[in-house]
Amino acid sequence: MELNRDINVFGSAVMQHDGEMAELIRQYDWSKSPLGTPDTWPISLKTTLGLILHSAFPHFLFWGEELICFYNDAFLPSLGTNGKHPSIGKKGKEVWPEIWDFIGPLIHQVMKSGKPVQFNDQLVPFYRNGKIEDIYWTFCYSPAYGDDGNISGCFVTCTETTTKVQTIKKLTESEKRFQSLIREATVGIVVLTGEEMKVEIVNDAYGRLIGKTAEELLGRELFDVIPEVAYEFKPMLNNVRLTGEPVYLYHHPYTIKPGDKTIEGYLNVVYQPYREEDGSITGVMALCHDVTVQVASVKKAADTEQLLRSVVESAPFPIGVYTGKEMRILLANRSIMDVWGKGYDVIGKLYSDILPELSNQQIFQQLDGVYTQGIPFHARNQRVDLIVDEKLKIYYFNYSFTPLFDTDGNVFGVMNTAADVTDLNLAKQQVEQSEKNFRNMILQAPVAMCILLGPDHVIEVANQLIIELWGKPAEDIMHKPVFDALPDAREQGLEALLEKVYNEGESIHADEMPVSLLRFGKLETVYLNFVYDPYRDAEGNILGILAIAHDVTPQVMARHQIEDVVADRTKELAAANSSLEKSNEELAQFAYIASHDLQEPVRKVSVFTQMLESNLPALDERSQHYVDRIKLASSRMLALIRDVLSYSQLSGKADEPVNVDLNLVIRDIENDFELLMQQKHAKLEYHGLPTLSAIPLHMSQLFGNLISNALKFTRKQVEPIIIISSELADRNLLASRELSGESYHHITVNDNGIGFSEEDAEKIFNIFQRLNGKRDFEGTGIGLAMCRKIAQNHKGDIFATSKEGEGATFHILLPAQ
Amino acid sequence: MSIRKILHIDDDEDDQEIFSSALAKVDETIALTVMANAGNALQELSSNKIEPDLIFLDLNMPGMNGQEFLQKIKRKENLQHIPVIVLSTSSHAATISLMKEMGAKDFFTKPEVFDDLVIMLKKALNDQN
Repeated sequence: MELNRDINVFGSAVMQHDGEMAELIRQYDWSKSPLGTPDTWPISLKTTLGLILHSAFPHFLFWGEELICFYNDAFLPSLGTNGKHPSIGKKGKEVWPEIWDFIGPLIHQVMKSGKPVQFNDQLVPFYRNGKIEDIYWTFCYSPAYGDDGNISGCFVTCTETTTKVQTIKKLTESEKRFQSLIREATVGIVVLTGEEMKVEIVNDAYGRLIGKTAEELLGRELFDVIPEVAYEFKPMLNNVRLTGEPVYLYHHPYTIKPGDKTIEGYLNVVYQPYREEDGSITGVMALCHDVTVQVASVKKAADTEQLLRSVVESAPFPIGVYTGKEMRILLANRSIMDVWGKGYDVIGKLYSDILPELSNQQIFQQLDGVYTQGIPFHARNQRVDLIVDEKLKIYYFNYSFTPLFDTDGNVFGVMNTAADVTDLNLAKQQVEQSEKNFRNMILQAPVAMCILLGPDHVIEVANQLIIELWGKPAEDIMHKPVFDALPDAREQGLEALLEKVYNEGESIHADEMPVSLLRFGKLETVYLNFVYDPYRDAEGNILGILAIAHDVTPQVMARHQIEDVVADRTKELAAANSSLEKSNEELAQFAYIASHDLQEPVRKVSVFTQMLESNLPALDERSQHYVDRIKLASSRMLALIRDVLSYSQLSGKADEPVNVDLNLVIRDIENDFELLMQQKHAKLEYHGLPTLSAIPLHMSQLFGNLISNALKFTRKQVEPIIIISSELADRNLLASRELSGESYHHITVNDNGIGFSEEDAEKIFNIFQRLNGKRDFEGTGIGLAMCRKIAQNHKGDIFATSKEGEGATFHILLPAQ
Repeated sequence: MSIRKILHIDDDEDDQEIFSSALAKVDETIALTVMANAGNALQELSSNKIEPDLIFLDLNMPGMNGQEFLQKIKRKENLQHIPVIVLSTSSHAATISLMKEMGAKDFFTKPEVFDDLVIMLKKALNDQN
């Protein structure tokens, strides 16, 4: 092709442009193009191409049936490298195959309807830079008219907006992230705009602070929602908005009352001006951090510290806390200040300044050691000399220096706790002293003493007397278990006694306990009085046994001799007694047999005398006298024998006692003596006599004898009166008769007869004792002896009181039931 | 029933005599058999050689004593109906009650006054009649 001609054919608009695309159009071999060679092109095409090539704005042109492509230099950058360029003269469909489905219909629509189509930021991805790229366009498809006035092509004005779109996209995403950040922030964030404080941005964290959701707040005026705090916060917010000065609030208390709830807490708040891009302030951004928990824990920590201080202060034992290597007193309670004899002014001062007297007592060194090494120091019963009330005094303490560590694990101070054990120590010293005294006392005691320690009864202390008693050299036995030292003392019952004292803490004493001991090679039995006492420490724990022994062997031996003699004598006496009893029995038996057998012949003498008398004719006076004497003698003998018989029977086996009513006994006796009483005009008075446990026959004999005597020993010309009465016996009376029972009847039989002299009062109870001549008074002299025997057999007694010529009183004492 | 035959058992001849004298004073028509040996007396009674209406019995006798005799006669069916009155020197209450328990009709202590014995016998015979 010739250039000149070409120039002509393209027209000046194309020819005169020196751009790349103009050159390409010129160089292109159009002969094979459906458009034909440029000389055949319509004017309108050439004109349009001229416009495109000269425009600095990207243009593209599809022309003709085949939509042959043209574009200008400004369009080039949008095609990238390694892409579609150069596409001049190619068919549209071939150049944009990947998007032809989209732009093909558009082009046809525009060319058919003649109406332009515009797109803003439309994604139209196509191949460039070696790949399909997402490319955004703002473009306009408008119809291009041919020479004939028909639409011959589609004119594309476009600008690539990929960068802009992507920037916006990034901005949007960043905005989204920002919103999301705000939304998800744990710090409450709210942006308020305008004077009315409208909620522009808000997150849930903020919503929670005031009991709302973010949605409920968004777009509303904040103080419509929480009017209760408007008075406090609104002026602050306004101030920030107007001045641009931020406000910071720390641990700020707040109270919100949404509905019927109450939300209380503490906030850290930052109010910052909310600026537009131009720097103008349109609102306030508030960042609110709920620090309620922190405030509470701080408060709690403060409370704890206060509590700790109060615990320390009120502790009953001394506590001090010293800080720094120099030991500055941080804390000291009343108790430790009392120990020091100081006041509260010690706080903040140096330990060494307060207690200079400790300088040579190792205390400062101990404190320093604890501080530098971090190891606690403990002391027990440590003597510490302190100046208290301006006097140096001796104290004893249990004390501890404990290192105090900070959070980094470094020692920052020392805690000093102490217990004043001065009193205890003094007491202990006293105990030790008294213990020493006690041991000395044992050693010097005038009785044998020892202390046996522990479950083995080790001989701890033993004085000379007990060593002599044991009969062993002291060096062989001291500090040995007692039964090792004295094997000869084993198995004599001492082990059990010692165990009992040691284990049960009981004192045991024994009198005259025989103990066999090998004393200086000789086996001897010694008799000991001893006391085993538990030996206790000050707390009452049993340490061992204190044994005190007294050798009573001589006394026991002497007494044994006496006892032997007494035993012999007792034996002899028993034998004598037994033979006496035997002979007494024999005597009684004899008396019974004798009297019984004697009775018979006398009875017969009496009976035959009567028979003789009645058989004889009338006797002369003398013969009658002899017969009478025989009769009298024989009846008297019978009476004697009968009384002896009765008396002897009292010694033998008695009947069982029964309840006897003495009133009935006397009544029977009264009947027996009826005739005699009538003869003598005698009176017998008795009443209120007791019922007692007695043998009925004996009671009859006793009172029968007494009444018989009363009727016998009467005064001439005096009518006899016998009075029997009873009362409870007086104690003194019982004592005088040597009666020991509780309760006795004192029965008296009183008459107005001849009586007897006081000196005969006891005599009359002797057997066969007669005071009066037989001639005047009949009787055997056995009656009162029998009465006494009966009374005594009934564990009672009888005695008499009288004055001669004035009657007699017999006193009978018999046990009451 | 009228008492016609009396048996007196007593080893003491004096008392045998005193008894017969006293009985004669009460009723001379009564036949009296006197035996000194209770064992013999029991034999005679058992063989019906003697058949007394009333027996007076001493207690203290050699051989069979009065208590033994009383016990035996009261066990014999053909003899137990014969009343026995003890006439002894004893006046011991226990003896008296024991004898009465064993079946003795009565118990008399031998009196020291002759007339007392006569009165005693009178009473005994009256009681039986």
